[in-house]
Amino acid sequence: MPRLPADPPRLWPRFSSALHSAAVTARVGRVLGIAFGLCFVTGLLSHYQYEPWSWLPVPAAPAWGYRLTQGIHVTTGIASIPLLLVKLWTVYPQLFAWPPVRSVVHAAERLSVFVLVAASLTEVTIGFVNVLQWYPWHFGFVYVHRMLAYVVSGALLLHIAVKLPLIREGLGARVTAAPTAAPAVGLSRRGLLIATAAGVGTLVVTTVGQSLGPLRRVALLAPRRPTAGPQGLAVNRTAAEAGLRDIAAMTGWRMRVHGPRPFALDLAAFEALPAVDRSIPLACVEGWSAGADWRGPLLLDLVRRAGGDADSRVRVVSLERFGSYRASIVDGPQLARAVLATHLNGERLDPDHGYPVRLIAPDRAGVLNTKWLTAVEVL
Amino acid sequence: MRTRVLLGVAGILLAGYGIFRILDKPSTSQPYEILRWLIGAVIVHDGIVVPVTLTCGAVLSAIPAARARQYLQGTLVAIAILTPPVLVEIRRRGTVASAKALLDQNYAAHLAVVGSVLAGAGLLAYLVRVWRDQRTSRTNVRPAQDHEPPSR
Repeated sequence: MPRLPADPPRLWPRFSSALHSAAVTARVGRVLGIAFGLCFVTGLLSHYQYEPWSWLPVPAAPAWGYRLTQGIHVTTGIASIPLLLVKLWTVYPQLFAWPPVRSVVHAAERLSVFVLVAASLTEVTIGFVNVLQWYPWHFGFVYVHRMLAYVVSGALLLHIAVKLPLIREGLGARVTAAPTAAPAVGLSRRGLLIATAAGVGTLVVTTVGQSLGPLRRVALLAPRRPTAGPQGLAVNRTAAEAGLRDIAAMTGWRMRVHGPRPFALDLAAFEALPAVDRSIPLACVEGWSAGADWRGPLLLDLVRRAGGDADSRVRVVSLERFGSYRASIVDGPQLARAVLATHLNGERLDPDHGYPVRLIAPDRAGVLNTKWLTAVEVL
Repeated sequence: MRTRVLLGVAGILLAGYGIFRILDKPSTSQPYEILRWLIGAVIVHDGIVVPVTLTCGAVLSAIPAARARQYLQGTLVAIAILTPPVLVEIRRRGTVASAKALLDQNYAAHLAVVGSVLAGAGLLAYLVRVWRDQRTSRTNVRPAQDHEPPSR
């Protein structure tokens, strides 16, 4: 194998900016690492909503639990985009380190950095694009987003392990120290950190209003306006998308309740059931959420009438003929507090909100609050 | 050293688990497509985004007024790093049903507003700096440097 010359070729890229420093990289990286960590943990909590262990059902309190964790997930994910761009910019000269490879170990380290950079860029990109309900790919987003999160987190831990002495040195160094740089020729390191904080902070403040009510007025860049939909609440999947465009004109609807003592109710009989009023926020996996007032009978009352009890495992089924979320399981603490809502914010449910009946339960991912219900099965 | 080893082993196991699960379910994960995304993301970032940024920085460095340039660069950095997600929103605006209340804002106008606010803040910070420097020079004290003098 031919030996490379000690010095890089004449046209090899060279970087003189003092901004490409360990002091800046370590500080931005620390914040980015925290953001990635929050994203990873809250992402796992979100997946737990969909695939809980049978011995540890999803809690029903606090009612705003999922609203908080998924709001953090999407907000930190969005904030990670500019943080990642700045972090990678500060270490860009490392891409052209000379010689490119010094040893097998060095080659392995560079490969792990490639995995980390590629997976991080892809993860934040597809995550944000998913929030916009845009899917320019053929892979299953939920599965890939989850597994790439493991890759990113693992590669990040490995990166920290390799770079720990440099990270400590960078965090310990003064931001203003620049022994090899010319004085005051452009943006200072402190200036770059302030500009990064300003950009990231502005992005957070102008988007987090989709999860955080008090900041809704300044949510200029938020993908969603959670209270702008029908009846003051946004919709994730419309009746038309579910193939139920004419649901409001449908006749002969019946709620069939299957169990040891099965029964069925038409709409008039269903609406004659004792109803409760509950304030339960609707929180979507895409990060947006809003408070809402619901009215309808308790699911548990129907379950008991069919021969089940509070320990039953219950499946609610939609009129939708296709789709991943046309049915969902309710059990544990959520069963006791779940409502089969017929009204939202004082009005009969809009077709897009699940007319004639939908499930709503506290601390539950929005898409699991199945709409356009037609059956309850006590399993 | 023990911390580094533990972190490294945990990292390899975690990343290995993710890669294994991706490869274990190819019909869902489409590994080749993921690979294209991974490589494409690096090419777009390292081959286009950063070189364009560096070129912009080089052009800005031609501005002779160093103090003003610092604040201009800082303001542009703040605006530039929040722009990419907004560009996607602008591109996808109006592509979903109105009931979703998704992508229904005028993101281009809002980006202009947000950019103007940041530019205003940058201008204000620059004016404060000018005022402070003038006060400092009146008392015959050298203005504060952003960087320490070179060591050689």
